[in-house]
Amino acid sequence: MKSAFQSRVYPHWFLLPVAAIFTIFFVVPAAFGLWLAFTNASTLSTRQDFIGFDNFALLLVDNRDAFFGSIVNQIIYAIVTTIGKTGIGVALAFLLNRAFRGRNFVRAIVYLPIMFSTIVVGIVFNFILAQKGLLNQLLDSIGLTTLTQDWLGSFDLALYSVAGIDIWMGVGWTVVIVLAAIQAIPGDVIESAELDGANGWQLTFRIKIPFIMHAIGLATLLTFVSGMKAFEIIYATTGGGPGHATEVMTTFISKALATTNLGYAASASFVQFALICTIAFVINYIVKRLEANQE
Amino acid sequence: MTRRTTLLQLFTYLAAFVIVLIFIVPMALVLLNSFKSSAEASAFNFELPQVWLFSNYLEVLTDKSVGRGLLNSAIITVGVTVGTILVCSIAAFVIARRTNRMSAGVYSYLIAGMIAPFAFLPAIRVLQFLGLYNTHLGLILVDIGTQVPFITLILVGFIKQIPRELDEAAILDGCGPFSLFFRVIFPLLKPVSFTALILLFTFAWNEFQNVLFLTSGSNVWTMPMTVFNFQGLHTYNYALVCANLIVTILPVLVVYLFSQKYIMSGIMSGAVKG
Repeated sequence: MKSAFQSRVYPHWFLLPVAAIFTIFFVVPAAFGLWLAFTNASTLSTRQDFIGFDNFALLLVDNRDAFFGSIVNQIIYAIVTTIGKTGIGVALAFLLNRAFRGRNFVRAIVYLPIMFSTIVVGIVFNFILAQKGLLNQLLDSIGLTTLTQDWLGSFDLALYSVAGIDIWMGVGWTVVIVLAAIQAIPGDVIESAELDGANGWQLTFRIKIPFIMHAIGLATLLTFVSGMKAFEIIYATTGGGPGHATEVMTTFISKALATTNLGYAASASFVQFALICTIAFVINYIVKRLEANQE
Repeated sequence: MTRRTTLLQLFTYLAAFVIVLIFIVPMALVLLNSFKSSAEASAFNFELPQVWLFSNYLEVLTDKSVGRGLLNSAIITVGVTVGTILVCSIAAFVIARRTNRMSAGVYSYLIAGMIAPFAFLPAIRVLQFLGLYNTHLGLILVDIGTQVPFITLILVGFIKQIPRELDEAAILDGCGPFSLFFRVIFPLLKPVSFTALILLFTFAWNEFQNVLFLTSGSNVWTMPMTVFNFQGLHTYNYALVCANLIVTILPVLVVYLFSQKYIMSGIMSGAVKG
């Protein structure tokens, strides 16, 4: 009786549009990509033939240094942005939790860059970090000429400069998540700690931080995974250069695609897909374990 | 004690001031330079322009590629936003209400897409095969595909809180499933739809990677792509580029100013469950 009502009132075909779009435009490309990686597909023709592991041999043997270099850069980038966004974001969240005039304005300003197009942010910082850009002008004017750099043109520095731009743009995410967790700490916990004579530092590090650890952990994981996917900000600032100094997986793939060798690019894309999925699953597993241990 | 408190408060204001500077300087710089002449803007600093050239904006807006870009962005953004909310909400309704294996299976299937990155390269071939490569519709459908998992998730969570008695009453009053959904349930989804709308609007307006890889001609290019090419063409005219940047972020800025609260709650619901 109940299930008859259910199938009449909540028909299964309501699920069809979403399942069809998701399957055709998200799942099929992923599956098809695996097949393409084993073919000699080209962007110039519409047919392709199976060629076995040739693409992977080209990728993992012949071009090993370039491809593994891009993976290493991606991981460094993900680690730097994660440390930066989490460290600065948690500090900012505590500051923005304090009562002061203009607090809502400061919050709005910190969140604002989340909404911007990555390309726009990239172009703006291209100007600011240029050899004769604002940052170097500023350093010059306060007598720190020795610190002026070609921020995005230096082989040693470029990756970290781009990571800095990313932190500027994305730290608001961490602030939103951590600030909400701080505000959700029960008031009586803080009161009783104060009654017991805890000072400000103890209150922060012994009571509040442990209470919001899950939110900090979550923000860290989201930041790390997005760092592993980072592409647009790098494309908009350095394009992978100078040389291969800021080459990451997707810039590598776009250059592989530019040679018209779609099969080869697909093999790199597949390795990226597998790597990100593995990392996400491992992280997810660790988080679940940690949560289970806490309970 | 009071002296310490005052000191701490002083430090808070100082830190807040520095933070505001760090965030506002790049934005203010772009705005200021968008009114300068090409020569003045080349230094890209805070000197005020001799003459405020509002004509920069006229020049940008009458540029053919910018007009085209704005139109394409509008088409893509509306398509992605409306399309995603429609297909996701009607599916979320069944997922939230039915407890059988089918709806639970479809739900887990969709949610898996939140972890997996989008395979944009092979998508080129899929779109070519369907005849949708380099079309608005192709780009819209791909964008919807990538947004479906998260939007379905927040909608299912919301619909579960709507009492089932409503459905039964509506059915007794003679509603079919279609009118039950569109006349009773959908209007109740306003708060969560609004959050979804803002997230989707921002996503579709700013999206770049799919436009870069899945289109080959300016007939589909949206604003981020247009602005990227524009700065390549006008490398030495920072003023014009800045005016174009302002034009690009203005719609999102307006949405942000009017709906900050919803955006933050949307990000939170995503973060907590994601």
